[in-house]
Amino acid sequence: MPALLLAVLAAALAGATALAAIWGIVAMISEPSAGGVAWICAAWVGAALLAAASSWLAHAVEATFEARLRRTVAGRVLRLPAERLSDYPADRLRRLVSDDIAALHHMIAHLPSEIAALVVVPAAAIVLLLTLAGPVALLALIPGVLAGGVYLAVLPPLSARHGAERGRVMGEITTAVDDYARGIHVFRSFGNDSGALATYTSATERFTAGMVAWVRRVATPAAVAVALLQAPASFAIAYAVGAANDTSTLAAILLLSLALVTPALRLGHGLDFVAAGRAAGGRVGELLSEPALPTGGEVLAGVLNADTVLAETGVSIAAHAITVRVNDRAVLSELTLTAPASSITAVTGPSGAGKTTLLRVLAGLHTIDAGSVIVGGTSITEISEATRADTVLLVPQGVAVLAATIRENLLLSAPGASDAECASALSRAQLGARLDADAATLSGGERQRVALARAFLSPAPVILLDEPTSALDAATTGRVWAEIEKLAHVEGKTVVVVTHDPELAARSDRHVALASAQLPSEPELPALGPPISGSSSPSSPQHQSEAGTSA
Amino acid sequence: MTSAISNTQAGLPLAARRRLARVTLGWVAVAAIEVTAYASLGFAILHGGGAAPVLLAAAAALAATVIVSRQGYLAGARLAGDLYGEMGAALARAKLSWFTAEHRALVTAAAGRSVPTFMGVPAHQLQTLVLSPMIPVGMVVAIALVSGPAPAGLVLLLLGAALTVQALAQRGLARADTRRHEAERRANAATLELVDRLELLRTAAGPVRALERAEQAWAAQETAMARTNRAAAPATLVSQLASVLPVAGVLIMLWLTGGFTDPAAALALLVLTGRASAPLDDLALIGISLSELGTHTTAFREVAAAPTLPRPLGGVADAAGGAASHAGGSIELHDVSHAPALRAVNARISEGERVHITGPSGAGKSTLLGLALRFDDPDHGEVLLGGVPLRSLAETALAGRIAYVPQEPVVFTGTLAENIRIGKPDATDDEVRGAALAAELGAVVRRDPRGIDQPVGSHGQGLSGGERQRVAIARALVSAPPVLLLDEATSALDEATEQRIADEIVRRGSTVLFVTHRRADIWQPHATIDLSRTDTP
Repeated sequence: MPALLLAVLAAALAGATALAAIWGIVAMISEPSAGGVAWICAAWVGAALLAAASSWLAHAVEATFEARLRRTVAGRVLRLPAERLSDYPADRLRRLVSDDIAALHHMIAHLPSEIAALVVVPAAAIVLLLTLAGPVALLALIPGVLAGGVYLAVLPPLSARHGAERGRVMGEITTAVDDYARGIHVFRSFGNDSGALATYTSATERFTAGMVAWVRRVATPAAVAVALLQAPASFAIAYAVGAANDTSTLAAILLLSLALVTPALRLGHGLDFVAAGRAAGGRVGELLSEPALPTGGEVLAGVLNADTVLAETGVSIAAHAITVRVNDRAVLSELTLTAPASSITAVTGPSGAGKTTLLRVLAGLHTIDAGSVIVGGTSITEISEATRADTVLLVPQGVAVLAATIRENLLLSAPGASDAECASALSRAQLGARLDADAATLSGGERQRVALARAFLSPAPVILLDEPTSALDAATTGRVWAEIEKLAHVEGKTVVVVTHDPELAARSDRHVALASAQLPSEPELPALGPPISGSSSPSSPQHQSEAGTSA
Repeated sequence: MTSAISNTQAGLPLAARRRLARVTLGWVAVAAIEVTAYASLGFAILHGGGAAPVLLAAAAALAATVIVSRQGYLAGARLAGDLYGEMGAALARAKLSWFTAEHRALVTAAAGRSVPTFMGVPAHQLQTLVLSPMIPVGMVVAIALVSGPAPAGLVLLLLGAALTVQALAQRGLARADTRRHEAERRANAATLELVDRLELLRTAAGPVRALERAEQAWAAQETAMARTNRAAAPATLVSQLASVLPVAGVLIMLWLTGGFTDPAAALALLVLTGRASAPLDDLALIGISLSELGTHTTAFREVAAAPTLPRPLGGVADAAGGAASHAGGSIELHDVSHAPALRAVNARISEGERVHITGPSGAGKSTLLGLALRFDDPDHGEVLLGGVPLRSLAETALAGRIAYVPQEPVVFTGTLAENIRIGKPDATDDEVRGAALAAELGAVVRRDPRGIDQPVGSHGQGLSGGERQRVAIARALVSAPPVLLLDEATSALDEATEQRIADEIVRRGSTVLFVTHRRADIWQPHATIDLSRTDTP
């Protein structure tokens, strides 16, 4: 903060010094002197030095701020409970972590020079003008005042409504074009891509028509403001006012007549920065007020060094009477389950029975409404977040990989693993790929095996696998399953597997079947709940261009 | 610079280019009128003339600026329309194999960013692009008329020097900045990876370690940013000094030559020099703003140039359509090869046959189905549907004969019925309901009083993975095609449901090509195409 104030001060001083140079020129016209020339040049150098210092300070402050903010925001995103994540689709998160942080960063970076240019310098210039040329000279400021008035009073109300509308239609365009590109194979293979294209076309036509209608309304005032900000208008009035005076007074009026034009010119952009920054601040604040997963503090004995005697002690995981509700629908209801060490516990059930939710609950990633999850005698919420993934490792169903080498993908779960250990884990997962191969080029089945290799590499005593073989053929599935059995029976790990493969469930040591609907008390099936599409409508696009709002 | 402008214009539709040209000419006229206004001001100061001509010239400059700005704003808005139209046409032409995840992101970027950026060109950038070089040049001429050729020569030299210093300062800054751009790109990629791979990072690494990956990229970017900032401070200093250089030079010249003995002439020269040097900052930055425009608009140009497949001529399509109707459901593969995996595949599938396509991951199973749908033309060989080469089938004729259920079901925001009806836009409610029941969606239909008109949430998020797959199957069933292609279409279903769906499809008797890693026998295949064998000659 003090650094930011210092930056404002330097920017203001730079502006004042530049005004002093103009004053010097006016003095030269009436009383030329060698000292005058030197004084003017010194003032210019001083102004330049101060401006450079101010800009350096402001950027240094803003860099520190951005660094802290993005770590805070990212940290919070990583700690959102799984059920809250559904309110944060990828679009929204992307906007939060990149565009919103950038908007706040711009607001701070430009604040000092904006304050100086919008407040300090015009005030000083008006005082100087009054002193040198008297009140009549203020007439020369009319164009700047008018232009400022247009930017402050005329355009914002015209733009506010349109801005929201444009954001909405722009959102429709990106959604339509995204839907079109996502579904083009389906549309075209059914011969009706014209329908989807029509959605896009009508959205873009509405955008263009809305844009043209809006521009028609604001174009004239905006164009007038732009024109008033060109020097001829100010100069002409200055000349008309000052022509009758002596040359030095005329010089003062002419040279200071642009005093309000420069700030008015920045008014549009300056206000945009502030508005964008405030909106972004609101959205970031919303994220930061979300609940977060507990950070915990406990470290289970033996978890941090994988070489300890896990096989002998064993760490079981148990869920006691857990209830999970999402949008008032019970996804899991009073479910109790124990998965002992050195065994495979299979979880089966029809789709929608809450199998994936159960694994997230066991991994401590999902909030539970009632009940508890106990890992090796400690509640999952009390285990330190820093070691939670090293205690209970969830291998989710998706086949996402980092766009990096296979090695980097594996090291996520075991940062200290050697190449030999990585290679062994890969071969146990039945994937014969090189460690430095690009994971992004792998097929779905290969990616699934990279994910599975983490289970063999991780030090975690509890391994949760969500449909680990869904993309594998029967032969590979058999070999992978044998390795999973070894993981449990030989290495003493606690393995919980969600699967819809009855053969695998039968081969497991224990089998838990979830009922199709977890609705013990209510006989009537509640409706799925109103669609959330209204609340999770696609966020408006980031780069709405600024046609007409500023010049 | 001209080449940079024309490069930016490449790939724009003709109407858009015309609009840009009109606005450019408008700004050229504005520049001329503005220079005239300054010249008349200079003459008035010099001779102590009346204010009327000055006011008149300023009014003309004002009016011209209003007209051209307005025209620029409108041109920007209409340009968006031109470009969105062009993009729509390009998407409609593009071959389906082009629509990869990467290109889909490109399309979204083009619609959401490139087009709005282009919109700002006639509205804002053209004014700077035209006025900033023209005003200084025009002002030198005006100074020659008002103050004489010698001061004009001096101002020209000073402007050249100031511009050179400015450009050098900006170049130095840009050089210091190159490493930051790369660091910034990495930092942004790391940030987006954090969001896009959130589930992976949360589960595999936990919240603390997950951040470590991004942390490295961020720290590097912050170091690069600090370096740029250190380089920016002297650059700001130099560029500020350069912008006052012309006025300072004239001031010193006036002092040395005793020019202040005629204060009016001195003032006129100082005022005109001030205006001549005002656009230098913008002028020095033109290169940078053009290259930025270039990067912002690459996405659009790439989408506009999306590759297409040759389309059959109208007559051929008609004839072919007629021919195909005899044996609509047979498929022949003649020596089909397609990079990277498919090599010389031959097959003959008669109408009503069910064929299991098998092979290890990466053997080209999905690619083969894609070729049968003409997502792309094979690198070598030919695919025939109903005895007619796909290349000579009209798109509608092809679509009417084949339905496809992809590996990842695509469900749109809307109702169950809307999603199913994509398979047959004119299907009645009963047909839609029938297809939903045939695809084992009965429980879903019954659990909401709105039945098939229940909403499925944003992109089908209200449905489970298996339910979304069944919606995609219902969509294919409602279109009742002679040929059905199933790519792991039932991978998320339990066995009993899968069995019932397989029975239903077998009962319908259409030609079926299917890929599954689960039990293939429930589909009662007549034959198997094993792609692992085509690999080894």
